[in-house]
Amino acid sequence: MTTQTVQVFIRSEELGGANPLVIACYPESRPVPIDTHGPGMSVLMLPVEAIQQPSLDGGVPKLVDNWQDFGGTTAVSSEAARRIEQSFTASEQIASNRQMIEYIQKYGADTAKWPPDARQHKAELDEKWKYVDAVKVQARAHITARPHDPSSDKVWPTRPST
Amino acid sequence: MLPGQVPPPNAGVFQRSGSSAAARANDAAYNIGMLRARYGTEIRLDGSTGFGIAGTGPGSINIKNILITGPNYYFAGQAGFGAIGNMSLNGCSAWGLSDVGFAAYGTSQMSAINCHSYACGTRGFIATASAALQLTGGSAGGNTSHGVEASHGARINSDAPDQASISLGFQSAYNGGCGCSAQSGFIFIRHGTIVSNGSTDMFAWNMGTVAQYQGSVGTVSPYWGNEGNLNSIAINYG
Repeated sequence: MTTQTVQVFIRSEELGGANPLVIACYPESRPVPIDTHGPGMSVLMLPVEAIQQPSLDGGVPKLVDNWQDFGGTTAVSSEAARRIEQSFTASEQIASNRQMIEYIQKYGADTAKWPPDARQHKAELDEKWKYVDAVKVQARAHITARPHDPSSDKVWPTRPST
Repeated sequence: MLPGQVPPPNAGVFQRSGSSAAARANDAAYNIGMLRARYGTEIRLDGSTGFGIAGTGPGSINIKNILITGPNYYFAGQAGFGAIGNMSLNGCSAWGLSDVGFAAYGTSQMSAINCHSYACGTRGFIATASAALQLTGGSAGGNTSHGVEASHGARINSDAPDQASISLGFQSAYNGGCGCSAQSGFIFIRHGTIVSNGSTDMFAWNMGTVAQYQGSVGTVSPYWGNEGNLNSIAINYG
């Protein structure tokens, strides 16, 4: 049985604490804006084992004592995937590749000879591909040295403007 | 009731300054004074487990205008009003119980009309297993964990006495955890005010459901119209 990974909303100010309260929890695949539960939230991609269930007698769900150990690769790689998907979806990436092939077939491999609109389009797509590459490089670095808040914009490359 | 006094008519007569432990402790001290100045009958529980009043059935018992107080510190297994059989409560209040103010268990049905639960060690009102709890007016505040909790198949419904006025509806505010928490349970608040709680105002978890209609609700998890952890959902009927 594969462990389910979930998006866990916690207060950013509690990231340094032992057992941050779980404010909300969603399936990994569901797009949920980071401001859904107001400002000051961090979203962590964690396996369900990182969540300490409320007791039978009530209480609130929290992250387990060693939740950082669960985060590791999953938290960083899932966050990287989420950021890439937000800026350049998988379907957009496929469409981009197809468009480039069409341009090459139509105008040749030398992009300097392409018409201005095709060159402009390629430049826009190149920005997005650069972002994808930068996020992947940063993710590898984060897996080695995990940032305090993996969901913070401060520890990831700036998103492309288009 | 003491001569000329009535039960708290709504949450407005309680002091509620914040959801932090310090604010709740300060409010608790004021509120026990306010309650004792109203009620003529108070049942005091000490550091022992058990109920102040329990309805064990068969049949339903009616309780009116009773205050039950606890030691104002936490330990598990103490509740002010406990329904194992059916209970109907009117104008009753619970303060400082070590665990829960009002509790409905098993297959019981508890009706709480204008009942209030404050400063309890965990939760103000609970329904668990197959129990059903109907809250008509009343309030929960300053409890360490949740104001209201439905768990493990239980359901809680609430409305204002006139089924229209939010000012008369149930209020759950300034509790340390959630205003309403449904863990594998169902909570539907109509014309209620669920705000300013320490964690989340309406919270559904592990296939729980929270819903509201024509009330005032602060934060909600999962977000309205979404599925959260293990198919928990929050529904806003507008």
